[in-house]
Amino acid sequence: MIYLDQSATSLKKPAEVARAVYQALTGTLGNPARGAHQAALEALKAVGRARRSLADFFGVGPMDLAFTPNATYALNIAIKGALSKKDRVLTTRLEHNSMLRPLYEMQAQGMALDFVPLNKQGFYHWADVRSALRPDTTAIAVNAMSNVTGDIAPLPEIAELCFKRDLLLILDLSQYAGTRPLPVMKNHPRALIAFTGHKSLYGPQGSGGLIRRGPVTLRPLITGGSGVLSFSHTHPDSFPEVCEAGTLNVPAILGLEAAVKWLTRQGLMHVQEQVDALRLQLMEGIQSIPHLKVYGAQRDAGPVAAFNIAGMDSGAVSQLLDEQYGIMTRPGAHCAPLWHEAMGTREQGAVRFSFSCFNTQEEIDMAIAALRAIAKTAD
Amino acid sequence: MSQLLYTFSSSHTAMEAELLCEDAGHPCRLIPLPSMISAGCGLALLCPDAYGAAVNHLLTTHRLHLEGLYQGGGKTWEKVCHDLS
Repeated sequence: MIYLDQSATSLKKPAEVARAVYQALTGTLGNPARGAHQAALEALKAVGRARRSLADFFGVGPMDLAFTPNATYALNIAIKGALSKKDRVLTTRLEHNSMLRPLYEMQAQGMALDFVPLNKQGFYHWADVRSALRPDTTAIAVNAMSNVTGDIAPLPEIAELCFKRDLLLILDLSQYAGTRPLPVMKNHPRALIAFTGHKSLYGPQGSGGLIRRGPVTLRPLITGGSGVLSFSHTHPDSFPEVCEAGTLNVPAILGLEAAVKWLTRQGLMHVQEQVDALRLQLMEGIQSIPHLKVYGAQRDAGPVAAFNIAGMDSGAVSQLLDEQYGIMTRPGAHCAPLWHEAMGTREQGAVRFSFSCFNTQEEIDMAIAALRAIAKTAD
Repeated sequence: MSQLLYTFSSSHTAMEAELLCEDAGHPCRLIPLPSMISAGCGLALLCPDAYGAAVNHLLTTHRLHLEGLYQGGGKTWEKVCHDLS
């Protein structure tokens, strides 16, 4: 079995992650922030330490990081909690539905929504963002790394623009987090930054979070138990409680902490080089295959590659790879409908390969050979 | 012996305060909030009086929002201040 669908979820996790989850499930942890007995305090302390580890990893303060079940929840909290019908948001046609659908919901309530168009390569330049900006734009919402092609957004320039014009930046790190450090920014704008734990951070599913930078007020999306202000009719709007209604997923959070500690020990740059080399190996190996069209604008993109073979349905190619070669990939639209419309692949979709540091050069060689064989059938 | 009791608007803030004290080697710990004190969070940070200045400095430096600061012990607590800044 060769698993090349790591952007959906990384299949193999470090042993430390499994150990941390197991210990959380079999140890002496109660419900964090619910009570003051020893087990509750132990759980609260474990979550507090995990919050610090994640905050250190992202270079923010611990009280500016909230845990959520995944990036979709985090983006929903950010978009529906910080924006209103008075806002005008600029986003791109590269976005995932986890960004688009909450934005569409807000648009239906009266919020204005503009899009940065994509070029022939299915990407955009920094200048396109500037051109699409309106005088009354109040926020920019972008994906840091495309989940289809791995192309990386011009983050420093977008952040600087947001800073200078006091725009709220809503950033989706779903694919980006764990693949490389956040770029150095001259100035940090007000921002809400969503991440998931189960992709390139190598944490468990059910882990993720929302980072707040600067003064941003949020309305709670989900309300309920908070462990504080029990007699109030409303959920607290303080951060991180505003994002953390109900019992936290402590095993997943502690697994994610173990994962980022493991990543830090390995060296993020070292892991990045390893994974980037696999992508490059694939790209070089498939460039001479006839009928194969590769998408994406950047040579040094993230650990994702998308392509099609002639007019073959992407689902059929993915099925052949799975059933005849034991290679698992993702076909279809990848929840990025506007990118596919821009590239004319709404019906065909695209085959996506995505990598983790647990993939090997031998696996990539086998994938290249399989693609070469499938492409021959398109002659 | 007189002690200090720091109260917070959230349990996570209270825990962050305890972790900061633990890192600094201050002998402070979280306890259930005494019922005579009205505060949002069910936890409070109990510290020896002698560490008050150091703890105040830590909380201010890390901008942890304080709901109240009390002095006393047992069942008797007197509010000292709301805000350390």
